[in-house]
Amino acid sequence: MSHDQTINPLSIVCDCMVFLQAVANDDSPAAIILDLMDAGEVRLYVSEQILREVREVMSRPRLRAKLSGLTDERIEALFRRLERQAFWLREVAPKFDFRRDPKDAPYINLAAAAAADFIISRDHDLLDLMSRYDDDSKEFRQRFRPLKVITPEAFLAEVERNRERE
Amino acid sequence: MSLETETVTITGLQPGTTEALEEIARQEGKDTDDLLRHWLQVEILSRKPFREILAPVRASFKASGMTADELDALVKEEREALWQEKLRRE
Repeated sequence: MSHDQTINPLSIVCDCMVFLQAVANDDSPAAIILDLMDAGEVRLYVSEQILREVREVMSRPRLRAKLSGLTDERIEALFRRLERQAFWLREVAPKFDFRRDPKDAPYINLAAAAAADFIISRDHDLLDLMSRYDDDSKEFRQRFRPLKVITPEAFLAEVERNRERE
Repeated sequence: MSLETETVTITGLQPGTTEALEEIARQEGKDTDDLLRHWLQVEILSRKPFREILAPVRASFKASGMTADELDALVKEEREALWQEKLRRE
């Protein structure tokens, strides 16, 4: 797909928590990331595995009870739009064995396969990969540099820097 | 949804289309009108910006009184529950 744009878009992978913040919380930096995607200023990479998890979480009764506006119709429209706006990778090799939280490995593997600039997360298991000295964190930095894991807030600051560079 | 409604008439469908639609509707537990109405509404909605698609979801989040951290905690718990269910199935 292509976008009309003057800014070289940053490429990202968002974790499940960030997806849910973007969907539900209008005041969140994650919600702004979806607006940037609509504007063609970021390239969001997705895989079937990741979107399946996001959809399953959205379908959980406790989530639905809290978010009455999250109807089947809205979810379907959201995923249909993601099909059009996001960049899909059909084949994602399981390159990284994330022992600290295996549930997060698909996000790392997708970012590696897409050569994304950033994984956007609010989860410390992922964010700590940038600073800890356990085997997983060291391996992550060695193998996947310059890929970074950052918060949505920090990502928006990167977007500003990217705009200034252009 | 608005109380006013509109009607669309479609002509020129291939033979067998009505029967195929009825079969899909049966599988989904809907009648054909409901199925087609749903398809059209989803398709039209999906061409709007994310902000419009998600407006009612975000309104319900605000009304719930939940904080961003509480939403994170809920998502974390549900992801873990899904993971455990998957492990039990394997």
